[in-house]
Amino acid sequence: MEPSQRDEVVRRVQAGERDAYRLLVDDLEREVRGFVASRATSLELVEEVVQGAFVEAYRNLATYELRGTFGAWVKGFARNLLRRELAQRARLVSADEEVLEGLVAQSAISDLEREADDNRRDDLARIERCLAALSPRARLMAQRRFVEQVPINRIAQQFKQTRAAIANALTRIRSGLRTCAGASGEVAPLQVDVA
Amino acid sequence: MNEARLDELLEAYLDQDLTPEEAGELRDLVEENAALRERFVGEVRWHLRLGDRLHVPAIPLTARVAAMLEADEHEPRTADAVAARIATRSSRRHKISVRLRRRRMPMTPWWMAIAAGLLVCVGLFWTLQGDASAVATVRGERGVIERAGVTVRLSAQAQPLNEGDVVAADGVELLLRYHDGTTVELSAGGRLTVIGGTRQGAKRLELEQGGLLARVAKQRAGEALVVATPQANATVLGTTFRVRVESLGTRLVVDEGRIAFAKRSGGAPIEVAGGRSALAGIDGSLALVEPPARAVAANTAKAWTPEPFSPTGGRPFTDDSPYNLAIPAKPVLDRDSAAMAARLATQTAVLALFKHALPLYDADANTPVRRVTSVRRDRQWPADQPVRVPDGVRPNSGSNRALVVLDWNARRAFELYRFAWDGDGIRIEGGGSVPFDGNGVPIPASGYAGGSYLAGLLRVREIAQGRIPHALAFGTSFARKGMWRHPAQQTDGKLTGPDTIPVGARIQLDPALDLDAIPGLTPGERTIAVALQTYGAYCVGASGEPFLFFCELAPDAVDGADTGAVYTANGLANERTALRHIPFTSLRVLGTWDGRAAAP
Repeated sequence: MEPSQRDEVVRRVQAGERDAYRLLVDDLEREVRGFVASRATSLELVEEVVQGAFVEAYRNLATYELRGTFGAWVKGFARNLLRRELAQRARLVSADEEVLEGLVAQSAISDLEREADDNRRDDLARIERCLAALSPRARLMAQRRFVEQVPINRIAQQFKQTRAAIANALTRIRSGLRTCAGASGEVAPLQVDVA
Repeated sequence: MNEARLDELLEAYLDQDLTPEEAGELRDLVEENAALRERFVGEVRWHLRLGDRLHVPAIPLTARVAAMLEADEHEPRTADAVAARIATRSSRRHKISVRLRRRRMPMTPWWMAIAAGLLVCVGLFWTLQGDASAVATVRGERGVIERAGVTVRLSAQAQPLNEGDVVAADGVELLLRYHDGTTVELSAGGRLTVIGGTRQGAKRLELEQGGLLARVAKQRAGEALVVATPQANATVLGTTFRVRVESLGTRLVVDEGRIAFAKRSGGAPIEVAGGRSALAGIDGSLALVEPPARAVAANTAKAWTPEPFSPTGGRPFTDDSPYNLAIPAKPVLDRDSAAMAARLATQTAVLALFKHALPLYDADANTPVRRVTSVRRDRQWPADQPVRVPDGVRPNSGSNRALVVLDWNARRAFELYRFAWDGDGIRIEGGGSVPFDGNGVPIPASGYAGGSYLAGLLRVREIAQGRIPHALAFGTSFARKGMWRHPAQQTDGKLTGPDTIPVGARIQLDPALDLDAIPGLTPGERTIAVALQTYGAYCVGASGEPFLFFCELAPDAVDGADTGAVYTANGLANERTALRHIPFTSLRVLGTWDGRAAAP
């Protein structure tokens, strides 16, 4: 939707047509999710913050002024929620796993504070082209891990390899995808060795 | 080499499948090496971005937002409000949830359409995820399947079972579930081989060590479930029973139904009916066993009077401590009591009886004084402190490596977290102390987020005596974020929602329940149930388990399968003993600790 179209939907919701809010959620989900995912410490946090941002935006909809900035307005709620959650996680110092999450949170906080506004967009189409450029075996492994979110132990069982070997392969796949996604131009076949 | 190991641990971290040892190892790796730390953080964040871009959650965002807003607008004021929770495990820790509530006002078309669609989506999701054959799922931390020489570590995702698989429960119970609804819980430390029946035909399991609890759906004629052990075969048509391989032989306990129990060496079987047990001895004997004597309560509720707290008896803290005051006759409940109780009731309540049980040590004026240094300096432990600690004390083997020293000279409990000897001194990563003669609410908190380790701790001697004269303490993975209530002083909860449990919340088992009418209640369960009716239990913080009661580590405990003579004699034999017979569907949550208000 164009900003002006979004504002028109907001106006309808503000006037009492609650059903229409769904259109805004559908339209902005990808953008808000991408903003949050690049700064979160877990997928759990991504879901919680994205959901919370849209709920908070709805609750405060009466205060939104129709200036074509609804997307940024929702991301503002997401940013505040993220800031609060990351700060809490960064302070965790007891259990080992909490310390590890705290390290990721500290890194995410730095990014959150550095950027006034988010212009980063993960080009899903490019990432999918990069995925397709992997060898069939690597592509299957990536599909299992990133799309289906299969645990590594099960992938190891399916590929008849050790956990360590699969971990090593996934690191190479991630690295290859990151390089490919960050580049421009045509996507060349990705040479990633997975035994 | 470190990078390769980091990558392996990283993947386990992303799966939330690190063992405590691996978590410690990963932490050490990234804390000691800046390059590895940067690699770890970078890989985690890129993995999340990839996962977010590529993975499609099972429940659409619009549905989740709709449900949250609906819950916002319509609080469950009516006594018969119905909350249905639909969860999917598509993300690291969080169960994406949607709440459907019966409302006084009709739903708007959008909300109803979303809710209906959600039910269909979830139904389809579970259908697509389901497997027609037998599957094994882990309840708790870990287990393994050995198949054709390959060891596969289990996770919370269901793993199909094949004939010939060897299943080993490493640390906590494992649940095997068959397509006809038959379930078999393998005890912590147990090991069995799946001989047959994973797809069709008679189910046959060979129990090599440990114990199992089976709830067997009615089987077809000629396809009885058979559990074989080194000494015996138990042939089951449909019932609930336990089998355990012990040093003396194989013990069978039947909760419901009837089982034909025979020696493997041959001979006529004996029939073991519900409520009875039998032993197939290593000497070739086979006989019914008389039921174990129920532990005699020291006092009845009316006659009991508190005794002073001492190394041999009594309870700590004042009589008016939140932990020692009985719940009044008609307490005011939390307005979300039904929802919170329903959430807890969906889980199996278990006792921490070994790895995360707390060892208690006595100290007196003759006990050596040690310098205790905390890596974490905070209000609880701002500087090195001298503490009387006996020689040779050891913490529990869980990730918190905790122990408690009861200093009878100072009349304080010293609660030490991540305990380690450092020469003659002691190093911890946090701790505190609480006076025996106070109200049990140290400021700042000395143990869990919600209070002292000692407060609410289930003691061995209390099980032996058949009486717990105080509230219990439990942890839950449903602890609420951002709020707590007295006697807690902080929260480590991570979840939101009216059915999450505030740290400090006090639960109570319906006092009107007739415990004598509950079949199969073990002596230990009965003792605990009475305490829950009289004193209830406090949520003391977040835990990895959904519903976990904290207990003293018995001095004679050996491992997860041998929790000590007293616990074992009272039916609390395993590290994560499930309180299966206590009807937690009859729980309620008080508004305040004293039951006088609906909310703090």
